[in-house]
Amino acid sequence: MPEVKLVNVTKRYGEILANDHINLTIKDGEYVSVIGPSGCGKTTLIKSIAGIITPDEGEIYIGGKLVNNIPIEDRSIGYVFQNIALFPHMTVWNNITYGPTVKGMVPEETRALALEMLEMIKLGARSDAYPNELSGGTQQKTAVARALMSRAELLLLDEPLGALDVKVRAELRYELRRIVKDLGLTALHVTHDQEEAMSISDRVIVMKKGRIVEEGAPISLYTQPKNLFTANFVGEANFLTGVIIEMAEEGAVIEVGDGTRLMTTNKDRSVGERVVIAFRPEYATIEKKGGTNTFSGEIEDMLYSGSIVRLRVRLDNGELIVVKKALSLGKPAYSAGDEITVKVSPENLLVYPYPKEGLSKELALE
Amino acid sequence: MGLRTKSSNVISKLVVWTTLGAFIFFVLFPTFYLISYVFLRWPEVQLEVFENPIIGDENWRQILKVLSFSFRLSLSAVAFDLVFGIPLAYVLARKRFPGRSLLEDIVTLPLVIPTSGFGFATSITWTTVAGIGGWLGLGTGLVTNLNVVIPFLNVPIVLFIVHVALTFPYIVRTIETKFESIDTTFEIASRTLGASSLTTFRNILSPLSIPGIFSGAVLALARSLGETGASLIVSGVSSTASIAIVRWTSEFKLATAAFMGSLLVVIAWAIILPAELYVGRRGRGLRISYQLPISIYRKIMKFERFASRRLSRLKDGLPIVVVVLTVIVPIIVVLNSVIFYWSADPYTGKVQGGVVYQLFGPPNYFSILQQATVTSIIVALTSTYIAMCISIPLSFIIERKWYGEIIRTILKVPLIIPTSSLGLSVLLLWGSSGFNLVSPGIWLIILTHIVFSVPVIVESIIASYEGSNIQMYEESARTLGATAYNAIEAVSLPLIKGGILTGFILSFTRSLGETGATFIVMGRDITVPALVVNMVEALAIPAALFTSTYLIVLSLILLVIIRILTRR
Repeated sequence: MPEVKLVNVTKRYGEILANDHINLTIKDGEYVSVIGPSGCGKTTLIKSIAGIITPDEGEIYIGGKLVNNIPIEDRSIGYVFQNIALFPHMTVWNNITYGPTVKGMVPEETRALALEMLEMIKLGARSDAYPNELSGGTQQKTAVARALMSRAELLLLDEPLGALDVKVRAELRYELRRIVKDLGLTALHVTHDQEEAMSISDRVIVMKKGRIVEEGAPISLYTQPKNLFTANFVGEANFLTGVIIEMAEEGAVIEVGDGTRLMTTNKDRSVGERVVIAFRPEYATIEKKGGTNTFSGEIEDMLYSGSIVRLRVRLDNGELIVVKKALSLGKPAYSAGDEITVKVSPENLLVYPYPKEGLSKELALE
Repeated sequence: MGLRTKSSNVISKLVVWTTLGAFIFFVLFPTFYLISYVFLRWPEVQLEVFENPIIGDENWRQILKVLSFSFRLSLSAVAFDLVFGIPLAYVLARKRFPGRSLLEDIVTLPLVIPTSGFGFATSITWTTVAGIGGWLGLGTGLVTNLNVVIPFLNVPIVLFIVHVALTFPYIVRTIETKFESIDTTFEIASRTLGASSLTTFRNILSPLSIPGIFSGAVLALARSLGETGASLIVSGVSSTASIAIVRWTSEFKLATAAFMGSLLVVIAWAIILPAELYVGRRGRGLRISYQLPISIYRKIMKFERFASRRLSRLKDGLPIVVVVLTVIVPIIVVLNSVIFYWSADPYTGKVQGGVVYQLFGPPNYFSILQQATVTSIIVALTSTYIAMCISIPLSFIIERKWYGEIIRTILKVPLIIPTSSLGLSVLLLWGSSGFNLVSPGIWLIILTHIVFSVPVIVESIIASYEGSNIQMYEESARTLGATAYNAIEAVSLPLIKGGILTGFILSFTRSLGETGATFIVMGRDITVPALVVNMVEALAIPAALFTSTYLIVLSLILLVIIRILTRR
């Protein structure tokens, strides 16, 4: 029953609040990711749950039991480290049997479980190898197996794929999720890679400056982020500032820059309010001149990255937006210097009140 | 252009050859002469040591006796060091607490304090009423005299304490550095897998640190085997190998002393060389695989769990008690006693037993002390200066030439051979039985001190050289048009300035405090640490108290300067 519950967990490093009254519940069997820029306090959070860091205030419960004063070794958790941390002086076999051995488990039982684990990570043939003889991906899989060997039902993953190559990282993501779900574990996964978090978890938590700013299912975080920081941090977004000039029946009408008016579906604002509009680059389409919900501008340059191309468009009102298109074979339809018209349909425009401290401060990662 | 390159080539060759020549002449010859002396004069050695017409092989039996005593003493001191040093190294490496760097300094103190002064401080702390005995209200010393031995080991207790204090820093600092180099994640990983901190230490940290523990123990062992200054004062009736060399030299049993000196050199080598090779190899650490019955294993784990929780205070506290008792208390006692004995002997009331009388009265130790201070400073400055002139170019040669590593390994020898062997070697080389160029006196002291000053300075320059990516900066200076000499002068030297300064002070301090070798080569000139030994032998206790205090204060000032320099 490893439900994890944090109540007002706070940790200070001098002046800096690494965790500022964090309240969080991870349900039994749930795969939760914590994302946020470097220094947002996500590592402090996971280390507090493991007992590596002692919080200054607040309570941490694992399976309903208060664990604040319980040392690391008695919390019965599996912890996977970014730098892998397989014991360099032990073979794969000795590494994965370490947990059961120090816990005094019966050798026969340990042996059976270890064989099962090696089977799961498909490493049966290499159990005599030393960690430095294995590839990075295999090392990390071994580390996961080692963490699971102590029969922990709560798996804490601290940037587990951070030290690996891009390809290996993508492959291991699915493997991790498969293992966690197959064994019915509860998992907390910390990463700065939002794509990794989106593709692996049931629920994503976004942190900034020691606080949780938003949480939700990956899809809703992407399509309906509740605040500007999330909209910017999760995926890519364009931001335009404007003022509501009318509350129509369908939603607010917003004027951005030199008279361009955009229809939105947002209904809970009032006329005269200063707002920020956000939209994903892939929701913008390139249209013929004229039409509703369009702006015109000039393509400044085009950035190719594999399957997609990003057009950087300087709007007539001077602002810069990015439009994402799938890359097709043949002659490109546009080139730098072309005048184009960009359309975003009302339901794809997200509206936020203008932040008190200014837009750039709100979006800042540091 | 071509001409310039050619002439700079000639100059650079000249610099290299001059430096190597100086290295061979001033360091290599004196270090190894002792061994060749034994070979060259083997018949003489054989006659004196093994087939003496009057006493037969008595000298050989003496050598064996002294060697076995020395090893018993050194090995037990190192064993004690390990038991208390490993926990202390762990605390210093892994915990952050107020006073940590102070504790580090206190542990390092015995490396800086002149050993004869320190030995004297220890002896009055344990054997006189002015020390711990008096504090406890015993009316005598805690240990009745210097000849009281530890049961089973048969080693005098005060001698043992001095050796522990003087070797402790080698163990603690070496192991601390090793612990610091090991990523803490391994330990945390072990904890998350269910191991208590003691179990983690046994399974993870200690096997990974074996090379460091090993080299710390070897350094401490070599230091203990070679210790002379303090041992001369506290050994009582027993004699360590190093002391025996001093004694036999003064009795003109040169062949016996030389034979034992070379035995010591060879033994020190035999211990250190394999250790260096073993540690230098990049291993995975020690692999121990053993299978214990599960029930016993569970009991061990349970005990370790208990100890991790309940006994951790004990583990943190005991080593600190050791450091306080062996380092801090003697210093306090000696400072305190000077005040106590200032005007008169506090127990008999006689002014003849006071510091003032002995210094300024008829014994007139003050003028001798003044003379000794001048000698000590001239020796320390001159030998450090000459060593500096050899060391700076030598460091560059070590870093850049293929034979650099060989020179570096050879340079370790003067640091580990017993100082009295070194003194004897220098005496035999330059004195009447060798080149017959220099007779005992201030110049011979300087020549002796150069031998160990060069390695001290070189090590410190190399540490700073390797820490600052010199090669890259110099190359970039060359691409900007600097000549090789220009690049060294404008780029490299300023970058290693810190290392040069630290080396200077370390060498100066060491020269100032050296006793064992100096005692053999000093002739009629006397240095301050040697003066302490003479005062103790003449039973001029108040004068010895004053001189020890003087030495300790001097070295504390130097330690502060080192601290300020190395902190940057």
